[in-house]
Amino acid sequence: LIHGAGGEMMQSLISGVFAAIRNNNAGGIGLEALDDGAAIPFGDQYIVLTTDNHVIKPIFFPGGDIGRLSISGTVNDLAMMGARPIALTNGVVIPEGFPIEDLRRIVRSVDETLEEAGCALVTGDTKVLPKEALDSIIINTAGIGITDNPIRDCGLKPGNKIIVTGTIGDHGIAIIAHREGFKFGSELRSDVAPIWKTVEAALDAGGVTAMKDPTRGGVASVLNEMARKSGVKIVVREESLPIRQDVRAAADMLGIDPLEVANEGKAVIGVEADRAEAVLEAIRKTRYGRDAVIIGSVEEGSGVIMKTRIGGQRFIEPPLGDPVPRVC
Amino acid sequence: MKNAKILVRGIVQGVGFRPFVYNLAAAHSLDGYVKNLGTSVEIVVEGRDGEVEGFIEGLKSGPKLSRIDSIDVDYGPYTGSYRGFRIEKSSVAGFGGFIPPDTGICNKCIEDMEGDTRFKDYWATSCVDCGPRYSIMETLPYDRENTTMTDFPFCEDCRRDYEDPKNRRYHAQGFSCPKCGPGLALYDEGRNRLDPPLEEAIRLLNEGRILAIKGVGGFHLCCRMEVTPLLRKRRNRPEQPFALMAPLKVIEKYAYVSDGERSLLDSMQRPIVLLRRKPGVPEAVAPGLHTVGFMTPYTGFHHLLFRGIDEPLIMTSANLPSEPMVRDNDEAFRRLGGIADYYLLHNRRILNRCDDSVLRYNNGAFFTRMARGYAPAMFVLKDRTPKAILAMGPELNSSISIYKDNLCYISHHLGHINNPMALEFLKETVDRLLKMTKVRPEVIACDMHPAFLSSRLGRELAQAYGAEVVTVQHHRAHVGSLAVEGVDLEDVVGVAMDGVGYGEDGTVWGGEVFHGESHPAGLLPVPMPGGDLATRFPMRMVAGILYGSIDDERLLSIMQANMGEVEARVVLRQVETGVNVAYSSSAGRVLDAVAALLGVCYRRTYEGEPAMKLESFALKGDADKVKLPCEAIPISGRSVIDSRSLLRGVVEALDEGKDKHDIAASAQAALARAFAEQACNVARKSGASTIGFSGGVAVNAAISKAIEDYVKGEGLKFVTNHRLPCGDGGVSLGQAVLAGRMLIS
Ligand SMILES: [Fe+3]
Ligand SMILES: [Mg+2]
Ligand SMILES: [Zn+2]
Ligand SMILES: [Zn+2]
Repeated sequence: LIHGAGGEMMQSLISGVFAAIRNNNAGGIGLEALDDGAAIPFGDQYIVLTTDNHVIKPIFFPGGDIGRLSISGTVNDLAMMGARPIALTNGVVIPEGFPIEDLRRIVRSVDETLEEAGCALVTGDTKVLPKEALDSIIINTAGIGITDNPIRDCGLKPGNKIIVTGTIGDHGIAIIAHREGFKFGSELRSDVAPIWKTVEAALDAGGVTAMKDPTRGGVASVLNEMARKSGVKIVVREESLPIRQDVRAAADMLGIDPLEVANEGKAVIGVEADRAEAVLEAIRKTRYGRDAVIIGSVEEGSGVIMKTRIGGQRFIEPPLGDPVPRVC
Repeated sequence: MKNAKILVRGIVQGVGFRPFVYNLAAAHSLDGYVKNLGTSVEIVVEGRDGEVEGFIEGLKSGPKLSRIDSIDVDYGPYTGSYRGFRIEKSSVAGFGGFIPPDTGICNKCIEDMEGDTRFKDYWATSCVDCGPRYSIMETLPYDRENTTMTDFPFCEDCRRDYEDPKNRRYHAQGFSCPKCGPGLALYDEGRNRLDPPLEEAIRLLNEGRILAIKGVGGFHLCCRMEVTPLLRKRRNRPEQPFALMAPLKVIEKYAYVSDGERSLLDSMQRPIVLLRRKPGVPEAVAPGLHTVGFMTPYTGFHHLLFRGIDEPLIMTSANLPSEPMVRDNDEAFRRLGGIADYYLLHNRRILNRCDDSVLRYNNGAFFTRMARGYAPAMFVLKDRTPKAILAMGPELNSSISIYKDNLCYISHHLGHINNPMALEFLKETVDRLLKMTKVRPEVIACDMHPAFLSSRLGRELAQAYGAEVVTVQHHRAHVGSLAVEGVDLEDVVGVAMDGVGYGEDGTVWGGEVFHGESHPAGLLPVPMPGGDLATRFPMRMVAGILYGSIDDERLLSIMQANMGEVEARVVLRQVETGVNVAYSSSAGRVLDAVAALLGVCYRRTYEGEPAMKLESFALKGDADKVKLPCEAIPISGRSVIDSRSLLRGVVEALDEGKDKHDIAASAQAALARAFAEQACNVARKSGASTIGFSGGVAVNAAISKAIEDYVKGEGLKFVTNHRLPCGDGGVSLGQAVLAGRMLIS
């Protein structure tokens, strides 16, 4: 559940079971692409559709809560397809006896996040399950967005630059710290946020070739997926990776690589080289893009390689899930 | 008059065997021929009865580099059909062919350099008995046209020597002279030449500069011992021991040399031998260790160098941490910039990177690294594999093996396969050795670890060759490597004491007792908070093992010897919650924990560091002065050695104010004894006659000796690795052996 659940195990569940659905495409980009969402041609534009189930422990955490997470997650999935988020739905499943005050708090947070993202929640559903069947709240959020031009996660080309829109690992490390009661000396905060405005700025600047949000499995997983689907190699420079001091320190104490944990307010963006600086500048002007940097570039080949600080190279691999020591 | 058809088996190819036979036949005025068949040589001689017998007697000694396993003779009637004696062209390329390792310069060649010959002062002098082999070979057979010496066509003099049966260089494939052979050049960082190269190099070394020196199988970084701190800083290697080179007489001033060690230092292989140091070696050369690695000059160049230098020189493989050694001249400037001040280069191309071998001598030779001089090696196995097997090795200190019929080749040390450059090196080596042996793998054996790059490459190769992948558990492979020590795997209880390896149950193993398929005993799996981080910082193992076993506050105060309170609490919380915690039964990690508890080592900067320093530290102690428990408890049908009891005992002994050296010695002894007891119990129950001991911990002389003594005291046979590294360097061969057994059964 830490850095895992979203790594290789999840991938094999998806490719092993859900890939069996044959009715998987409504024109445009369908389930088979396993992208952030589907894109369905509509006139000369595309409707983008995505859905996500949100469960998190604890439901309130430094920097956010499950309400903010559910809206941000869906807005960001739409954004990663290059789509302006229009309308969202909420399906809420709660256990019997769930505190009404908590529910109010979540709903408030949902509304604030919608406001920030500039979209609306237009329909919903609520179910209550017996305590024995469910131990905490589940929120399903679906959303539609519109775009002229869907951005895929397989569009990287040799020569492209790779941008991340902000610091890496904040959400995952903050959640672990808070949930498991680690005291690192300073309070770590999740980065959960709807980042459509940041993405919109990048798209307006032009030259974006691929996008993906590094949620489960973190940046490590997303870079590998983008490289694999695009048939390219990604080379990342270690010293350019934006990682907060406190996140780095906490991650070092736990032996967790910040590249392998979830982010909830970040995007990994591939850009044509000659547009990279312009895109970066545009991103940095937005609220959630101030710490954006170019972390590397795309080459011919396969896999993801990190050039280390001391001049060596290592592979960045998709996280396995639980730690499996390999040093003899 | 009679005819004899003789078959000689052993290492008889690429070692000057045919010229030796030719001269022997000439000396006895016999006619006939000699022909290479790979692992054997076929000879037919005809002539007078006494001369034939004399010839056969003379064969037994063989040339210097050969190893004769058997000589079979078939007598027949004299035919008179042979005119003189001739050498048939090498017929064996490919499988069964012997891949000759690189060899140190011989005494006759050193005499040539010193005397008034045309090889006087020539740095690259070699002959049929010595010189580079594998490192410059493209493929088998070992003929000049298959080596990088094709860049240096013979001059007339060399051609004459090559064709003269009376000459030492008759049919020597790799030699040359100053007129026709490779040359030396010295450059500064800006690639400006300095002349004369040798004299300038000596001057610069004496001045305290760091030189990158191209050698046989790669580059060395070379400097005087007093420059060690600077070299450490530039290479980012704070603690890892550096090897030294010096002539034997000089070595004896700096280290104790036993007869066994002297014979290794003086052998044709010229390995690095770990010797007990004397005070003259600065601490910084091998911090915290009682040993220091020494080798003697093994090329003509080294001999020239030591004409102008009268103390040992640091000679360490030139590479960035965990990357393969630098091989090419351009690569040297690119990768060693900022480390070396000057570059001493030659223009003989190195095809196959090959590091120096490292051995230890305690009651026999132990490899810690098998490379130059010894590898690639070839072993004849008892079992015949039905399919050709390629074994990919583990991830660290790796090697590969190729097993077909009853022959198994094992490569030299390939280092850590954990980065793109190393993976490339692994790929190259696989390709090279498959090409040399002309084997097409039908089965590819890999470690069980899901993320090892070697296994990933194994799967890719399996696709390419249409081969089947089998996985072999790491520690079973360690035990499997004992097959080349003459162990019958049916009749042995295998003890693997090691770092970590992926286990059959998804946990991480490293202290196991096996018998056949069964796994009747082993260490208790304990938490490794932070996964691999617990290997780098052994105090984390102390927390993992002792949490819940002693008072929390006591544990916190122990941990704070080496970390802040915030971190110490985080680590304990980590063990408690299980966040990013692996479970491991590694014996190496237990020794690491003891090293941290005693304050011997808090941070591992190179492989095996805490355990190696513990061994050195324990040498000053007496195990009998402290009694430490190391109980075994039954858990689900297995006898489990409880490392918690051992560590608790160490804490109590510390609290009682016992001497730390004594505690260290006693902890090693207690752990060794616990394993020996378990193994002997299993042997008694199963009727096995032998205890086999392997894994990285087996290189620890105290532990190995303690187990051996116990086992012999129980009337059982004790076997450990002598022909292969007991550490991960031997794993690929074990993988091959076990994959072969799976195919047979
Ligand atoms: Fe091992
Ligand atoms: Mg996308
Ligand atoms: Zn020689
Ligand atoms: Zn010549």
